[in-house]
Amino acid sequence: MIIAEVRLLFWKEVRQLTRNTAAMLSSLFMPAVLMVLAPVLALLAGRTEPYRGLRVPSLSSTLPGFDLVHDGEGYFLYITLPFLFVIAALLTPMLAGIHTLIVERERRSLELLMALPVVVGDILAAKLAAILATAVATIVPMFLVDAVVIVSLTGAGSAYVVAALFLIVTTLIASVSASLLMALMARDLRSATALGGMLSVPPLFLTGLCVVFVPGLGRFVVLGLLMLALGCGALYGGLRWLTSERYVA
Amino acid sequence: MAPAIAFRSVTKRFPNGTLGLADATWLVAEGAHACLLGSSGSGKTTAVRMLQAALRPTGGSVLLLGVPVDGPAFRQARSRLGIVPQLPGMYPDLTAGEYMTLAARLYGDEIRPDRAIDALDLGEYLQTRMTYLSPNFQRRLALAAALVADPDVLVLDEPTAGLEPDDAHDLQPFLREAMRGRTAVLCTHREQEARALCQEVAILRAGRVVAQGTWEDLTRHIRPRLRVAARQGADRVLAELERLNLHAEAADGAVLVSTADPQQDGAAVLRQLLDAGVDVYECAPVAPEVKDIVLEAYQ
Repeated sequence: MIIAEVRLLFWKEVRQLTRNTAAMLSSLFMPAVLMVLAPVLALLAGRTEPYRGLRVPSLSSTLPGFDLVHDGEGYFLYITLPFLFVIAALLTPMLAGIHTLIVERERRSLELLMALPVVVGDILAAKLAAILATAVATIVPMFLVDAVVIVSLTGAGSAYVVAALFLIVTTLIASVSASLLMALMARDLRSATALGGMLSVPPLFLTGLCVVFVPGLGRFVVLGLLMLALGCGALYGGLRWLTSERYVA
Repeated sequence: MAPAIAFRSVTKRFPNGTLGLADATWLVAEGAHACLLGSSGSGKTTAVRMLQAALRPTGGSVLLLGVPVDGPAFRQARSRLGIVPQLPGMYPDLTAGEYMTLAARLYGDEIRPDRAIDALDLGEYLQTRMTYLSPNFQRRLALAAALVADPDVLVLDEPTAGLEPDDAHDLQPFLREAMRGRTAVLCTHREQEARALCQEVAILRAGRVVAQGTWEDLTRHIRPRLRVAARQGADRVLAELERLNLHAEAADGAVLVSTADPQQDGAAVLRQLLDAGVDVYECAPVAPEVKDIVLEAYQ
């Protein structure tokens, strides 16, 4: 029965998200630029003159993360692209979260939900599941475009694609958890936006560390595991110490 | 018989230190129509939030239909409770029909919203997006959702707040009908509305229940009064009453006189005022008003 309640609320959230043109566009535009436009253009440009075969200085003796970086393509695949993946995967759930969690409370339609035979946990679970589902439905197809381009144009291969997909999915989970923290801590839309920016700092910092210090494809795996840990920590901390009361109080 | 709603020594302190409820004890018997009366910030919505299990008490216990709201059987009890929230916002991207369907399905697969929709005359607005409904119909929609599963207990949290007087007046018959035959709790700051719809009252002030009982119980302690009006005005009447050692105060161009027995004292007061040359055109007992009860309770 609990699952049934969350399922009903989940489909309500998905229906509302997909009907909200502004929310959908704001959730899609930046990720589309970061996930599709920038990588595809960069990889295509790397195969044209004067960028083809462009060499970059080797830094692998001091920075292990640069072990596979010998040319412009390697730099883009192992240094730039992880950042783009992480930023896009952080951005999409947070933007959807602001609409689903914060706007709902601001316009007082949360009162209508609270009046129905559900508990706050059901509402939050349904909202977070809807945010994750819409984010996955948005980001993963975009990544598939990248995957086709990466496999067909570069020598990175399918292992790179699998590792990058792992990073994207775990970052989405971390971002959904951050959305929960944002909903529990922020009092209004303005503070939610500011908090969203602050909550993005630790994942971006970890991305920088992993890109620089973890060699090869291991950077995606290590960073993915760290994102998972951040996500689980945020979820546990939010519900354990902040408690769902803060969402309605 | 267990009360439908029981607050026993309930205290709620929020993380910022604000006291939502302070050692509040309040019982609502099954079938009763009770009112939680208090000004804004007195703790009414905190009490409703506790019945929703959205807030946990810091101390004491809250029971709905005999079941603790933080216990495992709460969901079953919650499905027998309908709530009309205070000043609900409306969804711009859901129709009234979609919201009613959601409400019905959350109460159970076998629940159909048709009866509640008909009862609140919402049939022709089912395809209308919720934000486009008039304020009156928005409240009716919230009421219909609360009634969709024919609940045993109905909680109305400021159901007419924010409405124009005409809209509030139009909503009253629907509220009265909704409350019929079930336990109903009306949370309001509107005293006349409380008296019109409920037989029992609990008065909240700063999270404390300062008085509770039937209206008769509470008014019994209020000293009855006479309303006296004269052609020469309230000041002249007050002056004469002061000379007669009677406690009185001006109100709306007339004078209210405290007296132990208005019927017996009324004749004597009238006679003395007329003898003093005051042209009295009104002298009648006044039933204690809700505001008197509230003031007495606050004191």
